[in-house]
Amino acid sequence: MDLDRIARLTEQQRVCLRYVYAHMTSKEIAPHLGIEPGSVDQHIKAAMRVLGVGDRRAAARMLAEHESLVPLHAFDRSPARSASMREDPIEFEPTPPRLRRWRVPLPTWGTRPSELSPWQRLAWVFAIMMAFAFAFGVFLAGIEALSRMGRAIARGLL
Amino acid sequence: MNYFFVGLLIICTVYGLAAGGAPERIAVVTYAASSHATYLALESHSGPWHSLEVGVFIIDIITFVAFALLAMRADRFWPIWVSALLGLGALGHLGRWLALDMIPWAYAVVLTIWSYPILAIIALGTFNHQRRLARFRDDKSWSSFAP
Repeated sequence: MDLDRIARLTEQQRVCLRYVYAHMTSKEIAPHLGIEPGSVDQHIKAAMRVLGVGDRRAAARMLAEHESLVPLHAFDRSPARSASMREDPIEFEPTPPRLRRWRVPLPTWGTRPSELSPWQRLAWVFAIMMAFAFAFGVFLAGIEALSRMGRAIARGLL
Repeated sequence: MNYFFVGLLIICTVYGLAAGGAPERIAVVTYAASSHATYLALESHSGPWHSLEVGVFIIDIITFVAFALLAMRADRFWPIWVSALLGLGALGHLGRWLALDMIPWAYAVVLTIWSYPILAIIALGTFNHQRRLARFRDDKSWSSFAP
């Protein structure tokens, strides 16, 4: 039933709700869409009616939860890319939403640093260190092996 | 003295101070101070890199801790990456300490190679800060954590 309701949202309403999900007020949303704050309110109120909720944040959450079912590569939470959403609708099988507790410390996929706790950030520091140290070690070992091979081949030829 | 590095350091520091938010400004000042302290520590004796550089090691650890604290507080991703690279530099000292036959230039390379990506990442962070300012007209400096 929620799926039917969400399907009835217009693209403009979806865009507004995505901004609401990013904690933006109507006044902040309006310049991004080139419309008046009053019109943003109208879109959000209409979306709330369609979804049958009395709270704009609840409406935004519903849409966000729904859209998190779409594969990550196909959907970016940043509103700027929402245009590409409209062009290629994606077929998907609804699966239970998966809670992603760990987020990659990169400013992509719409993640914000505040989604990582201080300790998670520190853990990331050490994880990246280990990964780099390992990659560096493998790289050096590879060069070492190649140079040994080169020397062996050179000896064989002489 | 590596004039190429000093030039890059000055460019990135000025850019960070002029165009960065609070985390970027703290980062460039800390990093410039750390680089200068390292330079002084290496100049203080002859034949640098031939044995464990205790002074540089201490400076590297203090810089790593400063950036790790910045990574934990700032509403940014880049200090996480800079801290990791600084940590690798500090690990390089341990490598020198354990592998006593490490040749001086290898020791120097393992410690200094990370400086260039660090400067690049801070500059990129400053650029992204400007981009968010242009797009949202506001960019939070510090993360607020839900209790």
